[in-house]
Amino acid sequence: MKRRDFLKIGGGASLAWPLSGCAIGKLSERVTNTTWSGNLESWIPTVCGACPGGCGILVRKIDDRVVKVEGNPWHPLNRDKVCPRGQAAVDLLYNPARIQAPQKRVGGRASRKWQEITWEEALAILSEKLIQLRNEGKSHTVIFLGQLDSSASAELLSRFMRTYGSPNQIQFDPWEILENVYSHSHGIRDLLAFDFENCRYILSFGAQFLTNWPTSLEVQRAYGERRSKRDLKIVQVEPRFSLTASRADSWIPVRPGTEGLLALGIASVMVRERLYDEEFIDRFTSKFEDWTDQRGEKVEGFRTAILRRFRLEDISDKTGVPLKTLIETAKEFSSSERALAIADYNLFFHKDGFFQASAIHALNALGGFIDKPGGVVRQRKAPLKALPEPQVDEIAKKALSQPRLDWPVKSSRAGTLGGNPYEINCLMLSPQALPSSYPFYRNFERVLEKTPFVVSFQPYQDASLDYVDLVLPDTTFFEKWQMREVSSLSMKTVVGVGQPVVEPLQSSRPFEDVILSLAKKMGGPMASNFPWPTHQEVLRDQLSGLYEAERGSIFIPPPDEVQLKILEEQGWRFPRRDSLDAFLKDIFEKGGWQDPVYHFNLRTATYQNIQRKFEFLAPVQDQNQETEPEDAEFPFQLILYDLPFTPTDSGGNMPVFQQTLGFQFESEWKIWVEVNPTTAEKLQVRDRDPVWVESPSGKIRTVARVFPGLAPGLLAMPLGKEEVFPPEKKLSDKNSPLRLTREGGDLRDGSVSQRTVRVKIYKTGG
Amino acid sequence: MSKWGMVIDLDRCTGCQACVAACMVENNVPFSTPEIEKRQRSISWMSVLTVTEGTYPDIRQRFIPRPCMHCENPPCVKVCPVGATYKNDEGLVAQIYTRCIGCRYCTNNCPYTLKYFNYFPPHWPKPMRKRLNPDVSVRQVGVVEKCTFCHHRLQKAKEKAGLEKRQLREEDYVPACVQTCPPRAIYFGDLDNPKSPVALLAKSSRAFRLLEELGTEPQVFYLTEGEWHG
Amino acid sequence: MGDAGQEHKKYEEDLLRPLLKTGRKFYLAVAILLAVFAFGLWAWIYQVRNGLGVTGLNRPVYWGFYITNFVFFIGISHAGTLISAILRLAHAEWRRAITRSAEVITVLVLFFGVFNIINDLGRPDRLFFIIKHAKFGSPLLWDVVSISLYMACSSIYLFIPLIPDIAFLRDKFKGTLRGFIFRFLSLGWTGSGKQWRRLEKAISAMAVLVIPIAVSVHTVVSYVFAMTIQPMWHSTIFGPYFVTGAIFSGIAALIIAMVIIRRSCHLESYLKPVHFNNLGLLLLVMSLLWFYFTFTENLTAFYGAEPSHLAVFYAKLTGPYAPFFWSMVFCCFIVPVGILSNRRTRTIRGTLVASLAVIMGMWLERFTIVLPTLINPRLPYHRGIYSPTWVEIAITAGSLAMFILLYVLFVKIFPIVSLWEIKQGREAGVEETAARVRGYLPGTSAT
Repeated sequence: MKRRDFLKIGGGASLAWPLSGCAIGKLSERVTNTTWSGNLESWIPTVCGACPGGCGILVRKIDDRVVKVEGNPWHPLNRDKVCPRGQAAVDLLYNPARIQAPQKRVGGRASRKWQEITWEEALAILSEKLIQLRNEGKSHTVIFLGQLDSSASAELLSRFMRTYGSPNQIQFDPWEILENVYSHSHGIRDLLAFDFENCRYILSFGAQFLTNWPTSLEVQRAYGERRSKRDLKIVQVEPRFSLTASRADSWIPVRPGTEGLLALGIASVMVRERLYDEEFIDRFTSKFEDWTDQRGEKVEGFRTAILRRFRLEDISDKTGVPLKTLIETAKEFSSSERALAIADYNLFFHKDGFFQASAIHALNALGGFIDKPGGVVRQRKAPLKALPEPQVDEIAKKALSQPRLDWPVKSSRAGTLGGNPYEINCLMLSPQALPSSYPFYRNFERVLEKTPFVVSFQPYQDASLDYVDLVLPDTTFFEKWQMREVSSLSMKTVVGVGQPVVEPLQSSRPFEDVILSLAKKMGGPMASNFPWPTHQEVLRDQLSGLYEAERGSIFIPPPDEVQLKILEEQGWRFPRRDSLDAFLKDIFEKGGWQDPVYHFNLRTATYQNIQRKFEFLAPVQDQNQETEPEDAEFPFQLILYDLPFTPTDSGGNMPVFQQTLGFQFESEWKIWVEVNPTTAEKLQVRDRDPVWVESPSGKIRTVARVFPGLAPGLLAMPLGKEEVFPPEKKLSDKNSPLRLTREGGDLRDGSVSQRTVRVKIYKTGG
Repeated sequence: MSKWGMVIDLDRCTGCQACVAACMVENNVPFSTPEIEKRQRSISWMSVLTVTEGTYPDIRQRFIPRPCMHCENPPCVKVCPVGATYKNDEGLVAQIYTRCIGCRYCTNNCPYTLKYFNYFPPHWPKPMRKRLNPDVSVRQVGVVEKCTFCHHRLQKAKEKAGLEKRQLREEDYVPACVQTCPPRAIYFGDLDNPKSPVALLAKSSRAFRLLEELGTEPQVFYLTEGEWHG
Repeated sequence: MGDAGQEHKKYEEDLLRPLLKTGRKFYLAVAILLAVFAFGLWAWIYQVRNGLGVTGLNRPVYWGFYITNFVFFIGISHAGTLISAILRLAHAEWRRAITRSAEVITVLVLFFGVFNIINDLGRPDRLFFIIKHAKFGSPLLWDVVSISLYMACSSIYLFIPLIPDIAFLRDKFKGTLRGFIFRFLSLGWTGSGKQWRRLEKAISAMAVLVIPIAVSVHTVVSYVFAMTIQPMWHSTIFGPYFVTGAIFSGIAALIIAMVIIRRSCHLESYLKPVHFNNLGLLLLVMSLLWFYFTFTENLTAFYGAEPSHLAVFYAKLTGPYAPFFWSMVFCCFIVPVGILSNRRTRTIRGTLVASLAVIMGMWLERFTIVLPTLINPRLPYHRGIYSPTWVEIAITAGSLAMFILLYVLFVKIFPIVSLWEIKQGREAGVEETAARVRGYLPGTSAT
């Protein structure tokens, strides 16, 4: 009964599945939307917002209804292809779980009593609260939590938070681990790209580049092409035989948490046998040889550290990789002309992930595969015009100097008092749901409970609303003006833009416009920093940079791109449009802007530290292999992994997408645990037997599936699978595998790994 | 007239399921729910079969997308008592929803198990009906359905060619799964056209079909995986 | 005449008593059967309203209880006509008391077989497409033709020998409503010699005609399975196998009907132990024949060791359908052969027990033919499972209940033992048989 009350939000959005009524009656009922007039088809280009990738899409409309999503052939990232999330995105628009108007909570939390209010009221409530906090000097206690995939939206929000005076714009982004590595070795706090199209050898350390990257569509196209020619070898190093591993040419099973160690082993072979690119090391790297620091003391370089600290036999033992394989892989990698060593965002969850990722990236430097075709390269950013510098007043400046509260995102440390410098007074939740792989939900729930005022911008109802006081529903990406730059993981310079394909449904409003309205409502310094009436004007300003740019062009048919490249390389360019207005009209009609020219050997772009070189990090840390010690009571190591296309968002509101996730195990909705056949036999567990998986933190009930892609001591469970059809979806599903992970500890000091857990497994019913 | 067929390169297929999602959206296939999965009645015209072989650590896994095979000798057509499924002159095995009496003889005779039956009336929540594709009829309770190679797209292509006063070109007709496949693993065309890529690939030494020994002569070919030639 | 006349009077009295006297047991039986039927009717309405989803069917198990019932009921229909027709043609005198009860089974049960298959359609409202858009390449159409023909023929074959008895009843109930209806039905029977000769000719002709039709019916029912290409359905011996099974279950059904009639209508002197003994022997022969076919079927699958066939084979012998399969063997072979091979156990009670076992076993046999193949599709795919819902069980029970109810009503309206044939048997049968036997012996003319 609870569910039905809960669903009475916003004027009768009903989720009762219509199995009532007579089937014979339904025989005559036409479940279509075909009418005999109209049915005018149109194709609107925009950018997909179902994940951070920013692929270009063409949306098929019949009259005023969105019916299908196809790829925009002129968008260089995905061309005319779309991933399953994009295809299923049509479900997002007319979703029965959409919140149709701003909601205010009446009654206690979790009472599920909501009152529909107008936007004026909603904005008034929120702005009053924010102004009050600001005047009390507590603006830093306002936290904005969650992803904003579009960089344009993120920029707008950060401007808001800055002028308001809060340093706490927090999101959960596992790719940070690589940003940290590149920050150290290249001086670039951003992701670097991989040139898959020209690569001939990929040594991937658990990287799910075919399915879990924002640029996966580009990678898949390159993969397809290389497969026809069969001149690319992919070696996948990871503990579990993932989907990407199944597409690789060889899979090297390795103990969980020892990927970095294996990379050091390969580096060790390369250093010992002088298989590294000597010229590259000489010219473009530092700290490979021993060096002296500022105090004049000698510090070990990468080479000495490797040779001194690591014995190949030890590495082979600890990683579980045979010595022969290790040496062969090292030789293959280094002898290839164009190779890549790839670390993945997964290392974010390992306690020494930074060092592991660093070791893996060092292989690229050893092989000289940086800033070359087929190697690690830096995307050239599009010359968008920066927004005018905001005027930050004294109140805000003072507040911004307060420490950032990175928990609850990066730690599971509980509570507000005692553990943290200040309490949270207002929590604003981004329109994007937290991913179901978000590991610290337990603490997050506690934070939500304790925060006196919680605002959510989410477009969909789900059980997280139990903690929320005010809802200002965002629209889907189909209903807003968008600008999305392609992720830095791709070497292509592309800015995709989109106009609203349909009017916002009911009373939902684009998040960006709401921020602008909110700023204006708050008046004073806030309003003056946000002069634009709507987000469309903000985008116009930013895009004017492209209009004035001396390179690139609005999207053109692919054959013409060749011509553009030739022209640009010779110093010519396509003629500028007559006016900014004409340019903007055209860019929204075509779907974006791109610059097809890429120059390699651009040292200034690839290294932005002082010496303009790759800086090696000598492996001083003893790379740990077991994240948890051996335990007789919990003899297995459970690996939690992301299902395809789900890292940032499980796509719970896209049933067409969710349904496809378990296909490898023929499961549509149920989660499962993967067990090695030998283990299964020993435990007398058969395929599809119900089992309990128990860790020191909790236990869950699930179904065992026999899978030979794991070593006998390992188990695996998927993240990103919704077992229930939304909006039954809970913030922390009772049956989610995350229940097994350890509480306590802080990722910042590296005392926990959230992706491997010690467990035991046994059949239900004894 | 034509013999439309498909060639699916298993070397390229990444198992991403874009074809499955595209097919479901294009053809108004109702999505499954936990209840439907429990009772094993999900409908998915295009489904990807996972075949895992070997023992740890030497294992291989491949993904086999399976649309309707549109056989030349379709076992399903033979047994339909009312002719609701038949082989049309485009070489497609067609399904007439308004004639089907739901006896499920054809679903039982398909050796690939690629025909589906609507056990319940379609469960579209009212708001979601807006996104139904008007080109494809929504099937009612009690009838059999299956992949049609997006036959409605062929009709549209023909109409377009007629309006533009030209012949239908092979590349005008592209089913949804072919259009969206990111690694471009699915090729589609007229097997009767000797210059068509599908016709050439179907003769390749890597080409095979499922359950060939049954003599159904499917029009969907698969290309086996290759090896890195170092 | 006097002695014969008295005998005849006794016959009439005995055989018409059920029509005239209605005991409490009758009403009780009708009430129970109506209740079960009502339950089945409710389930059926529920299914029509909500679609076939209310059953346990799924993908890939597209056929289940209803097809099993269809084959089962059609199988039982072989009781009547075959027994009656074959025994008539063989001039077996002991048939006289049982022909009618057998023929009634046939005519009535066919309707329930057909009902079950119509009930299995996703769109029963489009039933007439089978005629309007008939495609004769499909075995289901062959079923339609064959079963329609069989229904027509066996109705005629029931009706024709019924005429003299209807005439008798017409005279007995002259002046009442019943008499009026019987007059209409008796088609002007006067009992003249010419009419008797015509009658005998007609009966013989129908007897000859009905046998190939009956054989064809269950053969084409088997073709529904045999003409597919699914493992362990696509079998060459399905035709004879199914016919054998049909006769087998038909005889068993007949025996059960006879035992009940014997008891409730007090026809102990008409349905004598010898009848049951003979039917028991027939049942025994059919059991052995059935076992021969079953053994062959399974041995060839096992020996050939084709993977798709073996999957189905093991599903039956050791897998999820093993309980059903082995129960079937027990009920169809071990119990009947055990009871019926020994003269001492081949009593009325013994044949009843054997027949009950056979009926259950034969239903299980249909079940284990349909299901294991469906749960093991050729392509590696999530194996199917099937468990029936209350709807299927209710409809099965309802069909059975209605069939029995109609049978009971028939017994109430018409004499279930053919009156004129008994009379004829007493008058003419004895001499004819004696003459025939004498003709076999040497030294006399064979006529």
